Amino acid sequence: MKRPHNRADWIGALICMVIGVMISLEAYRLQAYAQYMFAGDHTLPAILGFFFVMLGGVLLVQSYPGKAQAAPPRQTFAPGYEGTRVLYAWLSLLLYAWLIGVLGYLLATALASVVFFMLIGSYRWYVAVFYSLLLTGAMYTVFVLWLQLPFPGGDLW
Amino acid sequence: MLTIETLQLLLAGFATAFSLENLLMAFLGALIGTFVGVLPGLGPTSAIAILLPVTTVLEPTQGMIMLAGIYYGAMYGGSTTAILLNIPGELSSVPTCLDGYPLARLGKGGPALGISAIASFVAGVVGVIGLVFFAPLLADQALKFGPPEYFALMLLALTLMVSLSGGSLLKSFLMGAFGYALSLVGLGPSSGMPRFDYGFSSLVGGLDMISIIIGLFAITEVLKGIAEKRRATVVGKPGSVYPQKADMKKSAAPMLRGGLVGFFLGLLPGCSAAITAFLAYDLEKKVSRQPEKFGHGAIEGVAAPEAANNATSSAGFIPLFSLGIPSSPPLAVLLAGLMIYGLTPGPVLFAQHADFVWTVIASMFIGNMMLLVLNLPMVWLWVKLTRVSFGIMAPVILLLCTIGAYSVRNSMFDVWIAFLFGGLGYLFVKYKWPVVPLILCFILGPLLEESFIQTMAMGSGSLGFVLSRPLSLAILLAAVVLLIVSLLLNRRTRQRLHEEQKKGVDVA
Amino acid sequence: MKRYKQWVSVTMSFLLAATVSACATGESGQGETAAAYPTRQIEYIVPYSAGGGVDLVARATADYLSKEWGQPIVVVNKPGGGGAVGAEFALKQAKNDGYTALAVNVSNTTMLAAGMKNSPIQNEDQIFTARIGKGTLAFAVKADAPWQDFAAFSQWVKENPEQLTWTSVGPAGFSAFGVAQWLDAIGADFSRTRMIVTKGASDSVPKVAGGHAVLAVHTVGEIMPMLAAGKVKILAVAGAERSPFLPDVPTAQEQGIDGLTVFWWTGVSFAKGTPDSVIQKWEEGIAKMTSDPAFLQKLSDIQVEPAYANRQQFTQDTEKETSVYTELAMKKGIRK
Repeated sequence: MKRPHNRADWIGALICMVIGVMISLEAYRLQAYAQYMFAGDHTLPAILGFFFVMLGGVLLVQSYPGKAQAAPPRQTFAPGYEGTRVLYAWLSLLLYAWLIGVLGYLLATALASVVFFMLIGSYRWYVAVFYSLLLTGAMYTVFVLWLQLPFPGGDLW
Repeated sequence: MLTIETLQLLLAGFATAFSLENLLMAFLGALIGTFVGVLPGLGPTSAIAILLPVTTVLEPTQGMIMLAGIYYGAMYGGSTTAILLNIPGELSSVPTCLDGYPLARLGKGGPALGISAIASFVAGVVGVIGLVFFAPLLADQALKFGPPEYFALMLLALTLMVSLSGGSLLKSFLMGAFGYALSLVGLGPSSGMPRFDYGFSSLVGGLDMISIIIGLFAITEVLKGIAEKRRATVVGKPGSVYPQKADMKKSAAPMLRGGLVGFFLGLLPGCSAAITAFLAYDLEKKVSRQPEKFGHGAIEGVAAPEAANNATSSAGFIPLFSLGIPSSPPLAVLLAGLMIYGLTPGPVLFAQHADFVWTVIASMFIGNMMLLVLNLPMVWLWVKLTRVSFGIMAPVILLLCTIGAYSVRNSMFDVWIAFLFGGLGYLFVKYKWPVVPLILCFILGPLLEESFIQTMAMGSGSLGFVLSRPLSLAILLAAVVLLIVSLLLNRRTRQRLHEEQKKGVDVA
Repeated sequence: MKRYKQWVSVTMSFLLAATVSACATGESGQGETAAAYPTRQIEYIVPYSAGGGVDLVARATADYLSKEWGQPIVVVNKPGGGGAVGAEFALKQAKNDGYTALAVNVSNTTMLAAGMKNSPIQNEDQIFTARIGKGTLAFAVKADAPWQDFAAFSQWVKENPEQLTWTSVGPAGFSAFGVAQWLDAIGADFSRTRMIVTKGASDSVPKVAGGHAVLAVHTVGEIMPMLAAGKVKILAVAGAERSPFLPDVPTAQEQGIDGLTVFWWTGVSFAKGTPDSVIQKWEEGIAKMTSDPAFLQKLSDIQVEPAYANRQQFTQDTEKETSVYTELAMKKGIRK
């Protein structure tokens, strides 16, 4: 078996085809509720499912080197240090979202912003804590006290 | 249509609106609106919804003037971040990003902001003139636009996919399909049954576009910055702050065209500012002699969608005041504002509270002017903002994103979605999957599906009569023509790009 | 590499703190004594977008009661899923300590239970505390439609059911129940008529005015602007009495069509298990509010009729309504 020359596209194409199958299944399920054969909640999903599978297939084929196409520069996955930094930043975002539910908006924001300042700005911890307190205080005053956004208070209290 | 009486009423309206108190309200509204609009995810809808209780302490006229100011201010604020940070504050500023951000990277962020303010003003003037001259007449015509016509219009808008695709047509179609699929999540329109919910009750409520935009643009931008180890918030040469004569000359016609497109399509309820802005952008690209410049910093690409955006919001007041139909979410909230004051929109409002209506119309005009006065000096401030260290700006942006996503529906679910799409957006950018088709299709999706189902129900399960109605047939034919033109243009653009690259110019 | 280690350790401690605190989750919020309610801000969940009827009534109520009790009551819009998402939050996810109130209306309670076999929200999940207002159902057609009265229109539908198109937010929406009950009463074939799905009144009334659908069934207040504009006309209202906002429009009953009982209402409910003292406080507060002329004026401004019902009456009414709607829905094939 030949190896795809554009691995990212190859994976993307596979994912698209999987999505296509999932949508088609849902379309099939929805068809039971519809009043008309060709019109209802299932129609667009059915068309989309078909599109995904078909276009995904074309992309899959294209991601192998063909004669019509000159090979584009080979893409690699998130390289080394920078890639991990992005991954960590993203994971700490998710962690932040989870913490808001647990610790409440105020504490979670204070904690998360320390991490963000250290991670993105590479500040020393005391500088980060200082900035974090400043930022959290400003956020809290504007959005919670003035505009009364009903953020979750946290499960703890 | 335009009687002496209307003119007198308008003049009286201007007289009232020019009182010191009312001017102050318009100013305050525009100022607050701009600041709220600058925050990612906080567009006009949330700005008005959050500030509605604050304005109810004022008397109706002043309250409405302030709300109108907030509305316009928030729209403008959204464009500011779209241009400088590639973070659209709301849906309708996505097309502004396409050329605004490249301009900012070329060191022309200031001029782009200036043009955007001027375009908004010009369009606002177009809108107010339209409102004064045609309001009752056009509101009537808009009613004739039924499901088949909307369906045809959505198909027409779909042809934009071709011209908006940057690189691979195949990938942009797949991304468009993905956008459609995302818009399907939630309750199915015709059966009322949940679909694509896979057992999660939060998914029954559907995905909100704002949180996806926050993820795909704002959070992705921060992640990109982290990967690039950015120092300043925006990389780019510092450049001139104010637009040059040449910029003005280039954007004059696009502004007018964008304003007209935005105004006439904006009369149709459901045809949101995002759709008209995309259409106006596409129109400019088609009309332009150098379509290959679009997406790489064409000032026309900022002027047209900004004008369309603003004209659409002005036009939206026509069905709102004359028929009580809110054509977009922010207007629905404004409608609530009217109702709280005990004013029922509709022709009765025109008849019974003529002075009020005309004062509001006059103050919309003033609000637009206020924005220009307010923003041209502030451009400098915004440009300074982009020089703030990235290490400080990025955490602030992330926290604001959280609030923006949360405030859409007051739910943590939307925050999760924003974060999730932030990660996805990074992958999309990295592996060159264009996100604009995704957003376009997400916006069009619900309207397309709904008008399709409605049309089918009207025709008892057949689509044939879309062709038998002159208006829908005309739109369909226009769609076919547009598709062909787009495909031809696409090929030409590619050839040009190829030539430029051969010459050694780095375009992409 | 040093920096990398540094921040990994930060993240770790971040995680550790979170886990520890998560484990420590213990007793909470039960300490409120009965006498001192409310002692802090109350969230009033509206499961629809800002600007609709439910939202406006809720805002007026929140405004009145917060002044009365001296604590802020914040209206929180959580739209989605036809009102089910917000309801689920208020009834199932939030604490039932009386600091989360839910704005209910006919569509996210009785019609939801009738329209879906396994509806996410049941009547048993909530304590129906008090009803605040109601809206009369009106049947609107295009202004220049050929029918002069409701009887003639009903006759036409009976003869040509396949030509009737009506608008609704969905097969189990408010309008659908109104239409189904009416067609049942006059003996017309519901299954042969066609539903045009719309986003709500602001979308559907213009469709009727433009001639894209024949009939729109909404509350009087929702049709009012287009009626005033002369784009639609109202043939009849449902219920036993004429609407105070439209004293000239006869009821269906007056035109010889009996049994149209569907009406729109809105009120407050709490999650089951909420302390009785809280329920009582709200019941009393709303009773007082709905007899205050200033509040009644506000309701009239937003075209909602006052219709106070206390906890017992309200609960009884909703239960009766649920069984009526369920029967109707099963008969007409709406229930899925």
